Amino acid sequence: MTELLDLCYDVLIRILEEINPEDIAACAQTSSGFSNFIKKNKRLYKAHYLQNFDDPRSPTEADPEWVFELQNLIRCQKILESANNDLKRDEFLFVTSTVLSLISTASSSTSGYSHNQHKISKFFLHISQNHSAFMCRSSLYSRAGTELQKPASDEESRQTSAKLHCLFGIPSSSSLGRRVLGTHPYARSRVYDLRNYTDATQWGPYRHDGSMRVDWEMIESLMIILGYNTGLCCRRFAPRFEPPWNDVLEGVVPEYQALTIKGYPSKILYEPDVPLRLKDPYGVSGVWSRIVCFLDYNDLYAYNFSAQALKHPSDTPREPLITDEAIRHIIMDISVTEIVPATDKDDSDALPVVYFAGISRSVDATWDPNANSKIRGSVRLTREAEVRWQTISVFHGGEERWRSEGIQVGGLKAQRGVIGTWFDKDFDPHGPAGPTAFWKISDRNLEDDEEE
Amino acid sequence: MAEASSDKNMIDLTTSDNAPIKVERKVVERSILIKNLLEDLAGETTEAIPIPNVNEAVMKKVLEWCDHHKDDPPATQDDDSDSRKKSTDIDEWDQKFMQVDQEMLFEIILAANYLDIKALLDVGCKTVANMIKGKSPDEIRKTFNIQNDFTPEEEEQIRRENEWAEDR
Repeated sequence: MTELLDLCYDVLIRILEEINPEDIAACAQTSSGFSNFIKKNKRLYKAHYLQNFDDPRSPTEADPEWVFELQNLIRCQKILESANNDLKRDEFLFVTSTVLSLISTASSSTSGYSHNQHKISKFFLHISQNHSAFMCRSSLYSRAGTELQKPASDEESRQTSAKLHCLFGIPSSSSLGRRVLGTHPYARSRVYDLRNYTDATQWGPYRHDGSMRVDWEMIESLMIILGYNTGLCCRRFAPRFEPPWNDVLEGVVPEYQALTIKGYPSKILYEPDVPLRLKDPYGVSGVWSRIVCFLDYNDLYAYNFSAQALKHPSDTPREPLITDEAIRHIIMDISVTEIVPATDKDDSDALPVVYFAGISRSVDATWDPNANSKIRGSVRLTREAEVRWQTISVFHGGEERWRSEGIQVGGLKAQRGVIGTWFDKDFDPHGPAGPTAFWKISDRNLEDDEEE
Repeated sequence: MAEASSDKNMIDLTTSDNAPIKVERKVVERSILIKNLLEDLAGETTEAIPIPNVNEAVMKKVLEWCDHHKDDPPATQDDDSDSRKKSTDIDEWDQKFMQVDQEMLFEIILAANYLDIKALLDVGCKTVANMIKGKSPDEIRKTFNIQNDFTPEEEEQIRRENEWAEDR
């Protein structure tokens, strides 16, 4: 009589490709014959990986260890499916690192579908326990949040949790997203605490140790108040000014086709005939939507420099801040002006530094000179391979006024855009400073349209 | 037999156990193997086509499937995992058709593989896959009559190797 293992090789492989990944483990435990068959056929793991997750291969890298990777992903999935909160706490590092790699390898098909995005949505948006256990463990949650949302015990874990949260986004139409936005008084107390704007952080969302690594806890707070304020202000500008992090992993999952481009050829910098725009790996030129929030200066000053504020212990966060902020919606129209090799110690030399210039125009307060100006800036890759943006606004007569520092969340060309801080061009310790974000809405400059 | 082959739309087959089967050309052309053979012969033969790997009982069952699906659009060349339907999508008639004993199920799958009937092979493999899904090792052994030949030490070892898939 024909038995399962007697079926010809192709047929048996085909059957085993149809089961679920975890069933492979059950089959391997039935008999030595079955176990050997599975051990000898690593391609089964590859097939299952590619059926269940986005293709993680980039054109420049070798194939991953399919067996190891798939087993890790299924183990992670089982922890996320479990109801055991102690287990989730014990496996924090494993789960966060696995999910971060799942995000960094996520890509969508031409029809817009991503397995990884779908899975992360299923496990974190629909199971709030997972959201709490892995994405709500930054220091923000030492004061805000629920019973289950507690900061991790060490700095790196808190940063990892915040990074995961930032990439995930804040789905503001879900109860989970509304809960996140509910932490705004605590997020605001970090963003408007001028003690966080120092030489070590270069006034941007970077760590306090001067390493120029991203401070994801700061980015998390910036996203929360920008998201919260957008929700409060009238929606007449939506969707152009809706921060692009309302859906799970919004703006951080590129189309797979776009990834098949090989690494940046550094030689290209020296080719005289290639237009600047084509040499720019960051996709700078075009039109960007921008939002800027600020506190009334008197409120900001009092919060930081009143007698009471000055007595506040230097190592504890300031009290929650519920003062309303103002919000500005701005259109930036910018183009590349110069591209040079990266030489700074804080930069990665894998990509050049791109300089740009253009104009910045307020949409809702056309009379406001602070929002109508020329703008220039630069984009570079940090040693952590994060995309760092700096801007500076230039008023009539060439007077420079405001700077900004931000990180493009999701990496190179991510639709999510740049999230960071704005502040005085001379780094005035008395401020002002606040949150800002900008994201690309068109690859074509406004003049291009007018020419046609 | 001689009179049958004069009808161009009817094909004669001989199974491995020497049983003659007469079948409509359109039906048997679901088998790419036979379809190609018939095209190569271009109507020049009047002899029955031998099917040495499939016996009468299995062939009749396979032809029953082919008859039901004779008007299906031809399978696309696109055979990658994306276009393959998920196992839950076996249509009702096929599900019922596959309710046979395990011996017959395997024979149908092997015949579909040999005769190159992609859609039938697909349904067969999915049916077996569904018999495996969600089962414990012991349940799989029982379902497929597999002998557990591990020593207790080996069994413990293999269990640990497969902990990644355990519910937590």
